[in-house]
Amino acid sequence: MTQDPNRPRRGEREKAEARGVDEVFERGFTRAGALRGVGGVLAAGALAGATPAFARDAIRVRSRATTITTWGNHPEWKGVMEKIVDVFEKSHPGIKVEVTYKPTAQYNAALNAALAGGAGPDVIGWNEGTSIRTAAKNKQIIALDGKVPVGRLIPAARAQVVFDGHSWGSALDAYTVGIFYQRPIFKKYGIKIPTNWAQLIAASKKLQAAGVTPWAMPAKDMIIPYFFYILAASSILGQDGFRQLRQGKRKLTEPQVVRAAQLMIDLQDYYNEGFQAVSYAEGKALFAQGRTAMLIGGSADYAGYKQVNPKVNVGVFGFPSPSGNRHVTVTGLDLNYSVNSKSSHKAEATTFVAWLSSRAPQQIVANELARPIAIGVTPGPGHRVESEMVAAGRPDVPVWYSVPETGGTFGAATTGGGIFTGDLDAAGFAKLVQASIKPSSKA
Amino acid sequence: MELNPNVPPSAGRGRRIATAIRRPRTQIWFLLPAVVLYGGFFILPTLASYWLAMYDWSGLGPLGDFIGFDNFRRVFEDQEFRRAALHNLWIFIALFVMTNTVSLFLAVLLDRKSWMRGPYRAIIFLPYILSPVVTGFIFEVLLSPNIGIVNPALDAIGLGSLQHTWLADPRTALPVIIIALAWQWNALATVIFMAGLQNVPPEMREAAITDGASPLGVFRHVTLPYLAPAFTVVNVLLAIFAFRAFDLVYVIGGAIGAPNGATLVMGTVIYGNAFGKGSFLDVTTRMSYAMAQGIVLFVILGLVAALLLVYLSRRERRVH
Repeated sequence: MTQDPNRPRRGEREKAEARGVDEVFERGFTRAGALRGVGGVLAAGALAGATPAFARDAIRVRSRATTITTWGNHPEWKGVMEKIVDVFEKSHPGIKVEVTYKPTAQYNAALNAALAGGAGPDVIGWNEGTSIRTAAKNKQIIALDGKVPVGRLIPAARAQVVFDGHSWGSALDAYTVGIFYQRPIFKKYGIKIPTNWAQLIAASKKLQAAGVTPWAMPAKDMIIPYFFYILAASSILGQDGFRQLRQGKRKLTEPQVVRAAQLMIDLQDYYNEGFQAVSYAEGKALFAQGRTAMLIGGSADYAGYKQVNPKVNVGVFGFPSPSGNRHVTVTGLDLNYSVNSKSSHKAEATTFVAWLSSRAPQQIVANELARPIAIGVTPGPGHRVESEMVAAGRPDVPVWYSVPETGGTFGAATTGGGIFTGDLDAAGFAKLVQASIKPSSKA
Repeated sequence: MELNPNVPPSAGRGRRIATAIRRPRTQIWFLLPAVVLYGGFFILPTLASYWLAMYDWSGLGPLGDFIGFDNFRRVFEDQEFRRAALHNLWIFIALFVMTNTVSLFLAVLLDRKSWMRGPYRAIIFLPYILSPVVTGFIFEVLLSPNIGIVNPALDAIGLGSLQHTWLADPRTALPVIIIALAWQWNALATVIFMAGLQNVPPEMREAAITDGASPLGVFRHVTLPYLAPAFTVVNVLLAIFAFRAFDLVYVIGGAIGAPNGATLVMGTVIYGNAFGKGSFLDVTTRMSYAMAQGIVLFVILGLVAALLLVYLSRRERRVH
């Protein structure tokens, strides 16, 4: 049996009959209702009139605010990035910035896919190296001559965004990569900061004997092994040797330099279990939770450790050289921001990019994120880890993929996973990476 | 329909044809949006990809040089792609065996009348509802040496010697992926077999039993012939599933097929070339080359599916 849902039930019907069916089942336009409505409108109007002028301006500005979009490649930076964006939005009330985060390992693929589909953000962040140059060549970004104060950028940052006679954008931060260590673990087992490779191996052995996993070496995406390798090789080569490598005067296949790859193999017993299939993000989380004692990491990673474990207590030191005459770090730039040529809000996007190197955001970067790229900005007092990172590298070598001659080394290393499965020996790995180097006498 | 007696039959036919052409056809208007969308978003881009595969184009910026079939030649010389294709083949073979044994067995079990049939069917079909990405994460987390529960569970039941870093060992990483794919694929295969079992007339089974056939004999000589169309559908779909595998594999093995390329499949290689393999300057994209690889995959898939279809259709006709 079906029943008309609009039909009143028995009890209701009786009441309805008493009051008049129309009043109950049809919405009546009563005098009281009309008065209530008019009253509401009048009250709203009165309130609007009584609203202070500044509030009305704020409401108007908010409603007129242009939203620009950008992407971040460190989801773990969200907290600090929000702080930076808040400062910008307060000083530029007409512009709102929407940041979308992509995992580091997938960032480039996602960006390339979006750009290929014409859906890139207004402000595009390019990983350092040649990608921003390719984008300029392809007219994917616009020149920002005279709009970005490139004079206040440190030379490494300026070199990335000023080329072909134009200024193309600005970085937000630089990063230095060294070895992070768990201070409480080192203290508990009486381990001092290693000054040569023998001590590094001895410390690893001692930690393992104590039941501590010495290293997090996430190798699923080969990001951390790559950094380990270039640090170890740089500790052998030094700044001069790296320049000679770029010029073709030295090679990674020299027996002395092959030791860098061999060290990565020799320490294999001290890496986290199943490291070959552990991702970069998971490896960082393992270290931040104190489940491993050491991890190759950058100054930019520290904010992520704090996000995973707010009580994290870590220190940092440069990669020791084999004989112990120096500690080495490698330094690179994080994303280089530029303005998408297809953006509908080029002026607002330009304002944001130009603002990135100013004092206010750079001080937040220095204190909470990474190394600033503006001249004269240093970490404030109380920022021990950031200061340690600056002091760690003597000498400091450019991150290899940031210079054209060694730009292909990361891609080559990603195909060298065989070093951890026994399919590739140290010499084979060195040969693989060496093959990607395009020496230049101009280096 | 009545014919006008004043008009000769031939003239009437001509007018009817002319009217039919002029008359607006409702069905065409209904079909048009789908045809336009399918043509614009599938047919045209597919045809364009054949043309673009003949260029040296990164996918970003202007088209590079026209290089003809050079990309296709390189595909066949590409060790990485060949290795990935071999992995796809292994996936297909493993799933083929599993489908035609385990899934079929489950379908026969679930075809029996039981009060638990409904819940069992739901449990079997559940994996198919899950996104392959989610399935990949589930297996990755289960087998993680850091937070996984498989190794601790093995230890807890006295099988500690079987504990292993499943995803880190090149010998076990691909089998794990095959198991994950099988878990998901089994759902659809079982459902199709169950639908096929509905077509077996009960009186045929009863007659065979009356004639003294054993349960195995009934299954072999009565049930299996009726399942021939289901076998065709399941195995052709399986070929497509196995050779197009991407998302689940990408989640578990990543862009470089960790460890050391042991989990690369054609889909991940194509994606890596089209959009880059990861971060840190590895922004090299080779869109035209990826398109050439995609076309080769399409041809391989077409051939496998066609061969299966021809063989299984013949078998269908034979058993009927």
